[in-house]
Amino acid sequence: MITPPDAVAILTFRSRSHPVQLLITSATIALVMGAGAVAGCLGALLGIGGGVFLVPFLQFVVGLPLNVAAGVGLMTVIATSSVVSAGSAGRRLVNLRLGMLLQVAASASALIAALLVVRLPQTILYLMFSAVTAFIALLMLSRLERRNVILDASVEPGTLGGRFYDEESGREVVYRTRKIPAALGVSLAAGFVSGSLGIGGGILQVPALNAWCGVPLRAAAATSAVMIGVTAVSSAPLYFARGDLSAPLAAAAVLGVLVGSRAGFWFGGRASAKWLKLLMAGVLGFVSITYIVKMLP
Amino acid sequence: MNASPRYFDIDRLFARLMLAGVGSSAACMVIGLVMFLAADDLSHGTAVVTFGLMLLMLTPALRVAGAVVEAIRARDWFFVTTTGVVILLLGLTLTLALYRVS
Repeated sequence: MITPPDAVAILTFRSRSHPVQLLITSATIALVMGAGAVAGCLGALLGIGGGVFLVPFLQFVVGLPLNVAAGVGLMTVIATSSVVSAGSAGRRLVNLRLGMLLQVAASASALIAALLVVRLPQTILYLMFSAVTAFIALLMLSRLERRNVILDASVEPGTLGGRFYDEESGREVVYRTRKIPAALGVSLAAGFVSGSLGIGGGILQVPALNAWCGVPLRAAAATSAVMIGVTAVSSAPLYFARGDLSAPLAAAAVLGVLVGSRAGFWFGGRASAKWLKLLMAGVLGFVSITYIVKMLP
Repeated sequence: MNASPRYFDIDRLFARLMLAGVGSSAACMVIGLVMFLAADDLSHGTAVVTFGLMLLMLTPALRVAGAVVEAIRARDWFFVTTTGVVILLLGLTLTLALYRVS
Protein backbone atom coordinates (compact mmCIF):
# COMPACT_ATOMS: atom_id res chain seq x y z
CA MET A 1 0.00 0.00 0.00
CA ILE A 2 1.30 3.46 -0.94
CA THR A 3 0.85 5.90 1.94
CA PRO A 4 0.92 9.67 1.27
CA PRO A 5 3.71 11.37 3.24
CA ASP A 6 1.43 13.18 5.71
CA ALA A 7 -0.79 10.16 6.42
CA VAL A 8 -0.47 8.33 9.70
CA ALA A 9 -2.71 5.48 8.67
CA ILE A 10 -5.45 4.45 6.28
CA LEU A 11 -8.41 3.00 8.09
CA THR A 12 -10.78 0.69 6.25
CA PHE A 13 -14.35 0.20 7.45
CA ARG A 14 -17.00 -2.18 6.28
CA SER A 15 -19.94 0.16 5.63
CA ARG A 16 -23.15 -1.76 4.85
CA SER A 17 -22.30 -2.99 1.33
CA HIS A 18 -18.96 -1.49 0.36
CA PRO A 19 -15.71 -0.90 2.25
CA VAL A 20 -14.85 2.73 3.03
CA GLN A 21 -11.24 3.90 3.20
CA LEU A 22 -10.31 6.91 5.27
CA LEU A 23 -6.99 8.68 5.39
CA ILE A 24 -5.99 9.50 8.96
CA THR A 25 -3.43 12.30 9.32
CA SER A 26 -2.30 14.13 12.44
CA ALA A 27 -4.60 16.96 11.22
CA THR A 28 -7.58 14.55 11.28
CA ILE A 29 -6.73 13.57 14.85
CA ALA A 30 -6.37 17.23 15.89
CA LEU A 31 -9.67 18.13 14.20
CA VAL A 32 -11.54 15.30 15.94
CA MET A 33 -9.93 16.25 19.28
CA GLY A 34 -10.98 19.90 18.91
CA ALA A 35 -14.52 18.92 17.91
CA GLY A 36 -14.60 16.64 20.95
CA ALA A 37 -13.63 19.55 23.22
CA VAL A 38 -16.46 21.75 21.91
CA ALA A 39 -18.95 18.87 22.01
CA GLY A 40 -17.88 17.91 25.52
CA CYS A 41 -18.34 21.44 26.83
CA LEU A 42 -21.85 21.79 25.39
CA GLY A 43 -22.73 18.21 26.33
CA ALA A 44 -21.78 18.65 29.98
CA LEU A 45 -23.73 21.92 30.15
CA LEU A 46 -26.87 20.22 28.88
CA GLY A 47 -26.45 16.78 30.45
CA ILE A 48 -26.80 15.10 27.07
CA GLY A 49 -23.29 13.83 26.34
CA GLY A 50 -21.17 15.20 23.53
CA GLY A 51 -22.32 12.72 20.89
CA VAL A 52 -25.17 14.82 19.56
CA PHE A 53 -22.75 17.41 18.15
CA LEU A 54 -19.93 15.06 17.36
CA VAL A 55 -21.75 12.39 15.33
CA PRO A 56 -23.07 14.81 12.64
CA PHE A 57 -19.63 16.48 12.58
CA LEU A 58 -17.86 13.15 12.05
CA GLN A 59 -20.32 12.30 9.27
CA PHE A 60 -20.28 15.64 7.40
CA VAL A 61 -16.77 16.98 7.99
CA VAL A 62 -14.58 13.93 8.59
CA GLY A 63 -16.59 11.67 6.27
CA LEU A 64 -17.02 8.63 8.49
CA PRO A 65 -19.87 6.18 7.81
CA LEU A 66 -22.72 6.56 10.32
CA ASN A 67 -21.98 3.35 12.23
CA VAL A 68 -18.33 4.33 12.71
CA ALA A 69 -19.27 7.89 13.77
CA ALA A 70 -21.78 6.37 16.18
CA GLY A 71 -19.09 4.16 17.72
CA VAL A 72 -16.91 7.22 18.38
CA GLY A 73 -19.97 9.07 19.69
CA LEU A 74 -20.74 6.29 22.17
CA MET A 75 -17.22 6.49 23.60
CA THR A 76 -17.48 10.27 24.13
CA VAL A 77 -20.89 9.80 25.75
CA ILE A 78 -19.33 7.36 28.24
CA ALA A 79 -16.49 9.80 29.03
CA THR A 80 -18.85 12.75 29.56
CA SER A 81 -21.18 10.62 31.64
CA SER A 82 -18.48 9.32 33.97
CA VAL A 83 -16.86 12.71 34.55
CA VAL A 84 -20.13 14.58 35.07
CA SER A 85 -21.69 11.93 37.32
CA ALA A 86 -18.52 11.66 39.42
CA GLY A 87 -18.55 15.46 39.75
CA SER A 88 -22.15 15.56 40.98
CA ALA A 89 -21.57 12.88 43.66
CA GLY A 90 -22.75 13.80 47.15
CA ARG A 91 -24.96 16.67 45.98
CA ARG A 92 -28.11 14.50 45.85
CA LEU A 93 -28.90 15.78 42.36
CA VAL A 94 -28.70 12.27 40.92
CA ASN A 95 -31.92 10.33 41.52
CA LEU A 96 -30.45 6.85 41.22
CA ARG A 97 -33.64 4.99 42.23
CA LEU A 98 -35.52 6.60 39.35
CA GLY A 99 -32.47 6.39 37.07
CA MET A 100 -31.96 2.65 37.53
CA LEU A 101 -35.67 1.91 36.96
CA LEU A 102 -35.53 3.82 33.67
CA GLN A 103 -32.13 2.25 32.90
CA VAL A 104 -33.75 -1.18 32.53
CA ALA A 105 -35.76 0.16 29.56
CA ALA A 106 -32.87 2.22 28.15
CA SER A 107 -30.29 -0.61 28.31
CA ALA A 108 -32.60 -3.24 26.79
CA SER A 109 -33.53 -0.86 23.99
CA ALA A 110 -29.89 0.16 23.31
CA LEU A 111 -28.88 -3.51 23.05
CA ILE A 112 -31.68 -4.24 20.55
CA ALA A 113 -30.81 -1.08 18.57
CA ALA A 114 -27.14 -2.07 18.32
CA LEU A 115 -28.18 -5.45 16.92
CA LEU A 116 -30.72 -3.92 14.48
CA VAL A 117 -28.82 -0.84 13.27
CA VAL A 118 -26.93 -2.52 10.43
CA ARG A 119 -30.22 -3.85 9.05
CA LEU A 120 -32.33 -0.64 9.22
CA PRO A 121 -32.49 1.88 6.32
CA GLN A 122 -30.63 5.07 7.31
CA THR A 123 -33.43 7.38 6.16
CA ILE A 124 -35.85 5.84 8.67
CA LEU A 125 -33.42 6.46 11.53
CA TYR A 126 -32.77 10.05 10.41
CA LEU A 127 -36.46 10.86 9.96
CA MET A 128 -37.46 9.44 13.35
CA PHE A 129 -34.61 11.20 15.07
CA SER A 130 -35.25 14.54 13.37
CA ALA A 131 -38.97 14.49 14.27
CA VAL A 132 -38.34 13.63 17.92
CA THR A 133 -35.71 16.35 18.43
CA ALA A 134 -37.86 19.01 16.74
CA PHE A 135 -40.80 18.06 18.95
CA ILE A 136 -38.77 18.27 22.14
CA ALA A 137 -37.18 21.60 21.12
CA LEU A 138 -40.68 23.09 20.80
CA LEU A 139 -41.70 21.52 24.11
CA MET A 140 -38.73 23.13 25.85
CA LEU A 141 -39.46 26.55 24.36
CA SER A 142 -43.06 26.37 25.61
CA ARG A 143 -41.95 25.65 29.18
CA LEU A 144 -39.19 28.21 29.68
CA GLU A 145 -40.67 29.93 32.73
CA ARG A 146 -41.93 26.88 34.56
CA ARG A 147 -40.12 25.52 37.61
CA ASN A 148 -40.78 22.01 38.84
CA VAL A 149 -39.65 22.43 42.43
CA ILE A 150 -41.68 22.51 45.61
CA LEU A 151 -39.96 25.13 47.76
CA ASP A 152 -41.47 23.74 51.00
CA ALA A 153 -38.76 21.24 52.08
CA SER A 154 -41.09 19.37 54.46
CA VAL A 155 -43.11 17.88 51.57
CA GLU A 156 -42.61 14.09 51.25
CA PRO A 157 -41.05 13.40 47.80
CA GLY A 158 -42.43 9.83 47.50
CA THR A 159 -40.47 6.74 46.44
CA LEU A 160 -39.20 8.02 43.08
CA GLY A 161 -38.96 11.73 43.83
CA GLY A 162 -36.05 13.47 45.51
CA ARG A 163 -34.70 16.51 47.28
CA PHE A 164 -31.53 18.53 46.78
CA TYR A 165 -30.00 21.92 47.56
CA ASP A 166 -30.74 24.23 44.64
CA GLU A 167 -28.11 26.90 44.02
CA GLU A 168 -30.50 29.01 41.94
CA SER A 169 -33.23 29.40 44.58
CA GLY A 170 -30.72 29.08 47.45
CA ARG A 171 -32.57 26.42 49.45
CA GLU A 172 -33.47 22.76 49.63
CA VAL A 173 -36.09 21.78 47.07
CA VAL A 174 -38.33 18.72 46.87
CA TYR A 175 -39.99 17.14 43.84
CA ARG A 176 -42.19 14.17 43.11
CA THR A 177 -41.84 12.15 39.92
CA ARG A 178 -45.05 11.80 37.92
CA LYS A 179 -45.97 9.74 34.86
CA ILE A 180 -43.50 6.87 35.30
CA PRO A 181 -44.91 4.94 32.25
CA ALA A 182 -44.18 7.99 30.07
CA ALA A 183 -40.64 8.17 31.49
CA LEU A 184 -40.14 4.45 30.74
CA GLY A 185 -41.40 4.95 27.17
CA VAL A 186 -39.01 7.85 26.62
CA SER A 187 -36.16 5.74 28.06
CA LEU A 188 -36.93 3.04 25.48
CA ALA A 189 -36.72 5.67 22.72
CA ALA A 190 -33.57 7.18 24.25
CA GLY A 191 -31.90 3.77 24.44
CA PHE A 192 -32.75 3.08 20.80
CA VAL A 193 -31.36 6.44 19.63
CA SER A 194 -28.20 5.88 21.69
CA GLY A 195 -27.65 2.34 20.43
CA SER A 196 -28.27 3.20 16.77
CA LEU A 197 -26.96 6.77 16.34
CA GLY A 198 -24.33 6.90 19.09
CA ILE A 199 -25.60 10.12 20.63
CA GLY A 200 -26.43 10.40 24.32
CA GLY A 201 -30.00 9.31 24.99
CA GLY A 202 -30.21 12.19 27.43
CA ILE A 203 -31.22 14.42 24.53
CA LEU A 204 -34.68 12.83 24.88
CA GLN A 205 -34.64 12.04 28.57
CA VAL A 206 -33.79 15.39 30.13
CA PRO A 207 -36.61 17.39 28.46
CA ALA A 208 -39.15 14.59 29.00
CA LEU A 209 -38.29 14.08 32.67
CA ASN A 210 -38.39 17.83 33.14
CA ALA A 211 -41.55 18.70 31.20
CA TRP A 212 -43.69 15.57 31.68
CA CYS A 213 -42.53 13.93 34.90
CA GLY A 214 -41.93 16.98 37.08
CA VAL A 215 -38.22 16.36 37.71
CA PRO A 216 -36.33 19.70 38.06
CA LEU A 217 -34.03 20.36 35.11
CA ARG A 218 -30.84 20.05 37.12
CA ALA A 219 -31.85 16.78 38.80
CA ALA A 220 -33.04 15.45 35.42
CA ALA A 221 -29.71 16.39 33.81
CA ALA A 222 -27.64 14.83 36.63
CA THR A 223 -29.69 11.60 36.64
CA SER A 224 -29.52 11.45 32.86
CA ALA A 225 -25.74 12.01 32.95
CA VAL A 226 -25.37 8.76 34.89
CA MET A 227 -27.84 6.92 32.65
CA ILE A 228 -26.36 7.85 29.25
CA GLY A 229 -23.04 6.21 30.17
CA VAL A 230 -24.70 2.96 31.22
CA THR A 231 -26.89 3.08 28.08
CA ALA A 232 -23.82 3.59 25.86
CA VAL A 233 -22.05 0.63 27.49
CA SER A 234 -25.14 -1.46 26.68
CA SER A 235 -24.35 -1.16 22.96
CA ALA A 236 -20.67 -0.10 22.60
CA PRO A 237 -19.21 -3.65 23.01
CA LEU A 238 -21.24 -4.71 19.94
CA TYR A 239 -19.66 -1.88 17.88
CA PHE A 240 -16.28 -3.10 19.10
CA ALA A 241 -17.05 -6.71 18.15
CA ARG A 242 -18.24 -5.63 14.68
CA GLY A 243 -15.05 -3.68 13.99
CA ASP A 244 -16.99 -0.39 13.71
CA LEU A 245 -14.88 1.36 16.31
CA SER A 246 -11.93 3.45 15.12
CA ALA A 247 -9.70 3.35 18.20
CA PRO A 248 -7.43 6.36 17.34
CA LEU A 249 -10.36 8.63 16.39
CA ALA A 250 -12.37 7.51 19.42
CA ALA A 251 -9.40 8.22 21.69
CA ALA A 252 -8.86 11.67 20.12
CA ALA A 253 -12.55 12.53 20.55
CA VAL A 254 -12.63 11.21 24.13
CA LEU A 255 -9.56 13.23 25.17
CA GLY A 256 -11.12 16.36 23.65
CA VAL A 257 -14.40 15.67 25.43
CA LEU A 258 -12.67 15.15 28.78
CA VAL A 259 -11.14 18.63 28.57
CA GLY A 260 -14.33 20.21 27.20
CA SER A 261 -16.69 18.60 29.70
CA ARG A 262 -14.64 19.97 32.63
CA ALA A 263 -15.27 23.47 31.29
CA GLY A 264 -18.95 22.67 30.73
CA PHE A 265 -19.42 21.30 34.22
CA TRP A 266 -17.80 24.40 35.68
CA PHE A 267 -20.31 26.61 33.81
CA GLY A 268 -23.23 24.30 34.60
CA GLY A 269 -23.68 25.24 38.27
CA ARG A 270 -23.65 28.92 37.35
CA ALA A 271 -26.08 29.04 34.47
CA SER A 272 -29.79 29.64 35.05
CA ALA A 273 -32.36 26.97 34.18
CA LYS A 274 -34.01 29.31 31.66
CA TRP A 275 -30.73 29.90 29.85
CA LEU A 276 -30.07 26.14 29.80
CA LYS A 277 -33.54 25.45 28.36
CA LEU A 278 -33.11 28.08 25.62
CA LEU A 279 -29.69 26.74 24.69
CA MET A 280 -31.02 23.19 24.66
CA ALA A 281 -33.96 24.09 22.40
CA GLY A 282 -31.55 25.75 19.97
CA VAL A 283 -29.31 22.69 19.95
CA LEU A 284 -32.22 20.33 19.35
CA GLY A 285 -33.51 22.49 16.47
CA PHE A 286 -30.10 22.51 14.84
CA VAL A 287 -29.72 18.73 15.12
CA SER A 288 -33.21 18.23 13.67
CA ILE A 289 -32.53 20.41 10.62
CA THR A 290 -29.12 18.78 10.14
CA TYR A 291 -30.65 15.34 9.77
CA ILE A 292 -33.45 16.55 7.46
CA VAL A 293 -30.84 18.16 5.19
CA LYS A 294 -28.80 14.97 5.29
CA MET A 295 -31.82 12.98 4.08
CA LEU A 296 -32.34 15.16 1.00
CA PRO A 297 -30.97 13.69 -2.25
CA MET B 1 -35.13 8.44 53.19
CA ASN B 2 -31.84 7.78 51.49
CA ALA B 3 -30.18 10.88 52.91
CA SER B 4 -28.00 9.11 55.51
CA PRO B 5 -24.31 10.11 55.73
CA ARG B 6 -23.37 6.51 54.80
CA TYR B 7 -25.17 6.90 51.46
CA PHE B 8 -23.00 9.92 50.69
CA ASP B 9 -19.77 8.11 51.61
CA ILE B 10 -20.55 5.30 49.15
CA ASP B 11 -21.54 7.86 46.52
CA ARG B 12 -18.21 9.66 46.92
CA LEU B 13 -16.18 6.43 47.01
CA PHE B 14 -17.62 5.28 43.68
CA ALA B 15 -17.18 8.78 42.25
CA ARG B 16 -13.44 8.56 43.11
CA LEU B 17 -13.21 5.07 41.56
CA MET B 18 -14.89 6.33 38.38
CA LEU B 19 -12.53 9.30 38.14
CA ALA B 20 -9.57 6.94 38.64
CA GLY B 21 -10.95 4.74 35.85
CA VAL B 22 -11.39 7.68 33.47
CA GLY B 23 -7.95 9.05 34.44
CA SER B 24 -6.08 5.80 33.73
CA SER B 25 -8.06 5.31 30.53
CA ALA B 26 -7.14 8.84 29.39
CA ALA B 27 -3.48 8.15 30.20
CA CYS B 28 -3.58 5.01 28.02
CA MET B 29 -5.20 6.98 25.20
CA VAL B 30 -2.59 9.77 25.36
CA ILE B 31 0.29 7.26 25.34
CA GLY B 32 -1.34 5.19 22.59
CA LEU B 33 -2.08 8.23 20.41
CA VAL B 34 1.52 9.46 20.77
CA MET B 35 2.74 6.02 19.66
CA PHE B 36 0.18 6.08 16.83
CA LEU B 37 1.18 9.57 15.64
CA ALA B 38 4.86 8.73 15.82
CA ALA B 39 3.85 6.34 12.98
CA ASP B 40 6.57 3.84 13.71
CA ASP B 41 4.42 1.82 16.10
CA LEU B 42 0.90 1.66 14.64
CA SER B 43 -0.23 -1.69 15.99
CA HIS B 44 1.12 -1.18 19.52
CA GLY B 45 -0.32 2.35 19.61
CA THR B 46 -3.74 1.04 18.56
CA ALA B 47 -3.54 -1.73 21.17
CA VAL B 48 -2.78 0.74 23.98
CA VAL B 49 -5.58 3.05 22.81
CA THR B 50 -8.00 0.11 22.64
CA PHE B 51 -7.07 -0.92 26.18
CA GLY B 52 -7.84 2.66 27.28
CA LEU B 53 -11.25 2.51 25.57
CA MET B 54 -12.03 -0.77 27.34
CA LEU B 55 -11.14 0.80 30.70
CA LEU B 56 -13.44 3.68 29.82
CA MET B 57 -16.33 1.26 29.14
CA LEU B 58 -15.86 -0.21 32.61
CA THR B 59 -16.50 3.07 34.45
CA PRO B 60 -20.32 3.31 33.97
CA ALA B 61 -20.57 -0.38 34.94
CA LEU B 62 -18.76 0.64 38.15
CA ARG B 63 -21.48 3.20 38.84
CA VAL B 64 -24.14 0.49 38.51
CA ALA B 65 -22.12 -1.71 40.89
CA GLY B 66 -22.16 1.22 43.32
CA ALA B 67 -25.93 1.46 42.96
CA VAL B 68 -26.25 -2.25 43.84
CA VAL B 69 -24.19 -1.71 47.02
CA GLU B 70 -26.35 1.30 47.94
CA ALA B 71 -29.54 -0.66 47.29
CA ILE B 72 -28.47 -3.66 49.38
CA ARG B 73 -27.29 -1.51 52.30
CA ALA B 74 -30.58 0.40 52.26
CA ARG B 75 -32.49 -2.97 52.06
CA ASP B 76 -34.43 -1.41 49.22
CA TRP B 77 -35.55 -4.49 47.27
CA PHE B 78 -37.17 -2.58 44.42
CA PHE B 79 -33.85 -0.79 43.86
CA VAL B 80 -31.93 -4.09 44.20
CA THR B 81 -34.17 -5.61 41.49
CA THR B 82 -33.79 -2.76 38.97
CA THR B 83 -30.01 -2.50 39.40
CA GLY B 84 -29.75 -6.32 39.19
CA VAL B 85 -31.62 -6.37 35.87
CA VAL B 86 -29.37 -3.58 34.51
CA ILE B 87 -26.28 -5.66 35.41
CA LEU B 88 -27.80 -8.71 33.69
CA LEU B 89 -28.42 -6.62 30.54
CA LEU B 90 -24.80 -5.37 30.55
CA GLY B 91 -23.66 -8.99 30.93
CA LEU B 92 -25.85 -10.00 27.98
CA THR B 93 -24.34 -7.24 25.77
CA LEU B 94 -20.82 -8.35 26.71
CA THR B 95 -21.64 -12.02 26.03
CA LEU B 96 -23.13 -11.19 22.60
CA ALA B 97 -20.07 -9.05 21.78
CA LEU B 98 -17.61 -11.76 22.86
CA TYR B 99 -19.40 -14.36 20.73
CA ARG B 100 -19.85 -11.80 17.90
CA VAL B 101 -23.59 -12.27 17.61
CA SER B 102 -24.15 -9.06 15.64
